[in-house]
Amino acid sequence: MKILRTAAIAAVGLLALAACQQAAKNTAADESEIRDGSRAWATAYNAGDADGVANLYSDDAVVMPPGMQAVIGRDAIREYIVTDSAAAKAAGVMMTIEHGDSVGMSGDLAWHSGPYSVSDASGAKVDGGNYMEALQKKEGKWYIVRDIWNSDQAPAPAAMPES
Amino acid sequence: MNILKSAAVIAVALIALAGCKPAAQDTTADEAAIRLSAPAWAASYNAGDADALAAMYWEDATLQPPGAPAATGNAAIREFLASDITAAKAAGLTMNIPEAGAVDVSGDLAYEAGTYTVTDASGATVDAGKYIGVFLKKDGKWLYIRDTWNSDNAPAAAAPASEPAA
Repeated sequence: MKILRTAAIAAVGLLALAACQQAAKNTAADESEIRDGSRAWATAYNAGDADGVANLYSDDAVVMPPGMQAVIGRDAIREYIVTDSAAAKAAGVMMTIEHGDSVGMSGDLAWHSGPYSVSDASGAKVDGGNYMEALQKKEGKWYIVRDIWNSDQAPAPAAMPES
Repeated sequence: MNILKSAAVIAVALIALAGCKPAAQDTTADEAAIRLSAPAWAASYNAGDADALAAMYWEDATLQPPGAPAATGNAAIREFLASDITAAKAAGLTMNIPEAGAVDVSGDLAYEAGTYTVTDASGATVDAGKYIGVFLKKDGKWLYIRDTWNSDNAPAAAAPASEPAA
């Protein structure tokens, strides 16, 4: 009986530990969700689906695009995407999230960063740069809370004035 | 005996669960350390100290500056910042970075997000922008693993290379 009792206690202890370790650990599923999120961002952006883009952000997220001040909150982000994706469509350019991205996680905080490219209607690359997202997991889902990017290319020199 | 046995099993289970529940992390000191990073970065930049700047990054860190490809590793980061400092000095520019507006810490990972301005010799603001820095804590030290920023201003039109003929 003594052995059984000891075994029972040990088993319960091990089970409890195993359960808790699982809860604390970030999984491959977290990483996939985060990587897929950025690709879904580009797909929605190229389709002019501002809701699809906005839903990847938390309510209080801040988007920091180059060439303008930060955009604060999901509603403002949606409006920004409506305008920006329409401009991209008019210019005939598409956004692609490239391979070579990196993810880091600890508990409910994560970052995701990597290269993007912009191509024209012929498929030629016209711009490229890097993005950085900070994400938080809320109620089992990862949301972007901060998002910044920039182009690798130095600003093009202005065309020579016609004389 | 049965009651004692059950009590023992329950006690072990509770202790194990309590032990596994992540202790609520006191992030006060970590957040304070991270909030000091951006002003310290600006101070080293303005002092022209590229070594001190490079020492704020992990060896496998990546710097993602606007208008240039990403730079990975201390040596590449140091090289980029050294030439950037030289250009800023020649133009008489000063970098101003207050403490980050947003900081979040979870375990050994943290990020900061904030804004900066660039002023000329007269003190006039000639540029403003924003950044996200990501930090990892190793051996009790918080250093950058990623650093990305951009300007709020649309790229200025380059001055014409020569005066147009009259």
